[in-house]
Amino acid sequence: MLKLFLWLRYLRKKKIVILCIVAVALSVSLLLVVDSFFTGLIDGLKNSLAAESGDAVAYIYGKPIPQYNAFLGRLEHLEEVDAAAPICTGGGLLWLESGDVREAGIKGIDIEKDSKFINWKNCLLRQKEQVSPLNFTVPGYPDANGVWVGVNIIAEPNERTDKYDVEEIRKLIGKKVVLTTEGFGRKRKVIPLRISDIAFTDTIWGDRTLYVPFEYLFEIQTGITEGKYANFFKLKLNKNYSKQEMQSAVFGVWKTFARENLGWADDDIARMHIDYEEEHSYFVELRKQMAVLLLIFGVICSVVILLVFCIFYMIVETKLKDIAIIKSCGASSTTAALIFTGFGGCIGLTGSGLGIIIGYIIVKNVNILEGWVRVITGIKLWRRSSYLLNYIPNQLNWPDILPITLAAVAGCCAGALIPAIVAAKTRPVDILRYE
Amino acid sequence: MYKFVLAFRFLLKRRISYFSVFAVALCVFVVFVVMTVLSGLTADFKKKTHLWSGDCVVSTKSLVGFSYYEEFMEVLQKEKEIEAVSAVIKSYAIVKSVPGGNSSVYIDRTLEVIGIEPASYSKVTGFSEWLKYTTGRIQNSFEQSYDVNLPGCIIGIGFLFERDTNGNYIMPEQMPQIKVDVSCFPLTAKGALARAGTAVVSSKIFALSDVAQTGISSDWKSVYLPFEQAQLLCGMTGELKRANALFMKFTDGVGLNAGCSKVQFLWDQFMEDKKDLRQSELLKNVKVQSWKVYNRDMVAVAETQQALMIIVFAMMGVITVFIVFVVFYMIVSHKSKDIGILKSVGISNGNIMLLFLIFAFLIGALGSSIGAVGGWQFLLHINQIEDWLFEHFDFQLWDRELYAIGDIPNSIDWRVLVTIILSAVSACLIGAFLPSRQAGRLQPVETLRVSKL
Repeated sequence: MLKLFLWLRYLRKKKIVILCIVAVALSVSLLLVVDSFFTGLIDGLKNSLAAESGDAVAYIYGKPIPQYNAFLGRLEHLEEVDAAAPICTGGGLLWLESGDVREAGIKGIDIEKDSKFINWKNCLLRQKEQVSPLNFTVPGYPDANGVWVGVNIIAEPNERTDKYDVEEIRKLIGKKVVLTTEGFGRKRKVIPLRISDIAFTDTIWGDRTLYVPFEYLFEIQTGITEGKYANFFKLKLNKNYSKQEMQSAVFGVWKTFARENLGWADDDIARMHIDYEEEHSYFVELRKQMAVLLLIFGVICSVVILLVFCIFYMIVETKLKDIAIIKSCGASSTTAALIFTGFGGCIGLTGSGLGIIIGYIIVKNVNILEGWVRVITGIKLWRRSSYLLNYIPNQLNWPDILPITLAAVAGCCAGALIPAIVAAKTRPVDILRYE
Repeated sequence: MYKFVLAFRFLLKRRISYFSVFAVALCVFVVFVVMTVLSGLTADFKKKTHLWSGDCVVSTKSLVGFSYYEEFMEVLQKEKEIEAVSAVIKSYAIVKSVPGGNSSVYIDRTLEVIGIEPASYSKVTGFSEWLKYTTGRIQNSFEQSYDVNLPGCIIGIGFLFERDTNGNYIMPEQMPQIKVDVSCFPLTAKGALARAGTAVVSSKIFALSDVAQTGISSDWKSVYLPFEQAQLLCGMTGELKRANALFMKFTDGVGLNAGCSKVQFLWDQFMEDKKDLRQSELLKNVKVQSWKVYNRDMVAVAETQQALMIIVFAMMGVITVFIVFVVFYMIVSHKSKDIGILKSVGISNGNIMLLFLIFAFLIGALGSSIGAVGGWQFLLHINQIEDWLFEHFDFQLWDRELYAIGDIPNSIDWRVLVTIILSAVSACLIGAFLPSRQAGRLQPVETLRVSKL
């Protein structure tokens, strides 16, 4: 009780400890912001990759399977698999208007199945507000081949603001474009299309992709026109199951399906492989960069320990008489030491609390702050084309708050340790004597 | 004189001031090391990017390109500001390995096609330094001996070879023999597909004649073809030939802005002269840009990261100011009697304040010197330290198999060092200002009276 009383009193009376609190808050908020930024960037990229390519890809080498919907239906009944969708990719050139031809990645998607991986409703400019199911229909052109175009293929963000002119882009819906790609037998395929919708995905590569119906692209690439064929499937794993469990379950379903429905021999059945989305080495590098940055900032932040030491040393020197009085009333040396180490811990906690609040405000409003920086200085800190993600990660990394706070409290206690020992060694008889 | 003597005395006798020195030294050390490495990386990256595109680029983003480029090249070559100029074709192609080589490397992907004329291109860019196997004349870089009937091509090194843990490509002594089929989509001046009646893409087989290492992302996405071949594949030949870009190098002594303004002026005039001619509408999409603007996406990121780091370090510098403030506050509190005696013998408020500011300067100078020397020594051995860490703990600052970084840059930029030292000394002076002013305002009658003794 006495200790608590003294801590509160020092906190109120000794204005200089506010410097300690500010320094701790500054350090904690900086570490939290850096940590949250990198964690958000890694998670954002990983989630986008998982949405695009799935957690695993099952493919049947060199021989597409018919009735793929029936196979996917069986896969989706497995507890180990949350979702499954066919995939088909390619590349080509997109003619936009006279003299304007752009490179584009092409992706064939089954809207219904792919929506279990990507929230397409939120990504599409026109169909975002519509209640009807998503489709490739072109408004005003019911017979046209519709296509969703990634926004970065048809428009450039403003150089200064890095934002798209949405109203101008909306006018492009229904516009005729021509896709040139390599078709079956290395034949050039020239395909007139109309823009059905504009896709604003979370990633720069998603914004540079042309989305067409899966079966349409598959037909162009393989020349197979009937029978609903496919040979690549992305899978979303149930997190409660291991890869091995999922793999054996998928292989089990595949063998039964291939034998019973397709009548395939064992040699053909063995054509199926499953590739997992492994931790990309780029993420390992990002984590390493985060660790190095946190280490550098941590070293600089450790200067706070010196600050706490200096301030506490000063407090102890000016409060020697108080300490002597407390000890003369029967308090032990440990109690005297605990007053100051506890006070150090108090400062660490208060500073950390303030730092968490500041860090939270910065992280949550980082996109707004970045906008302010651009307005004030003209410097655009975040460009979607450079950082792959279309937004600055703005989620606080809650799990790392505890270790950072503990480190801050421990640092403050360590800074207060030597002054606390000086206080503990105080002899009332030396301090309180009359001379 | 007494001010310096006392300031030195405080520095040596007051052990608490060592903490300030340590804090300043630590901050200077960290900032010096990080900024040197970061500045080195940025400068290296900018140099590579500069070498990749020359000083100035006249280009259009459309794959259709623009006409009359040869005439404009002649205009440019007459100007004394322009040392060299080279026309470039830029498009995309599906590149696929075909049988006939001796390498196991298999390529099958869409790549950026860069059509160049080696002699002029090497005068404008660092092309001659990028090539790994060409030993003779640069004009012959598209020639190869294993299939003389095929035109040569140069492929980005990242496609063909892996890197070792030091970031060096593992290259065979003899160049691998690789043949690739390059398929482009030829476009008319209106952007429609040329030869639309045919169903086959414009394809040609090339034999690898060299590999190029630019040190930037181009190493993983580009294939270089002879200019005429690329022009033909992209449908840019015919009565009015087209190109996508003109890269140029300015004469020594011509500033970037001045040179680009001159080219812009010439281009505006040229466009005006051609406005009534066929395909003049293609000229409207052409931009004149300095290499920095042309490569903005790449260069801006590096510069922004450096700026952000400076801001963060400036924020952390505030903590150093706090420490100096506290230490001086303590020293002034302890030295109130000394200050009273000094003032009682006639020393002014200003001189007392100056005394403590000199003391702060000494702390800043000493701390900075220690930090700078420590940082210098650390930077000198940074690559050995990294090698040791890699050997014993498998730790590398950057994975060299992933990033095009060789040694960690450790060249000391004296301007950076001087700026850091000046900032550190300023931080000390700022931190000491309030306690010094408080010291100057102390009254001898208050500090020296008997009840205070």
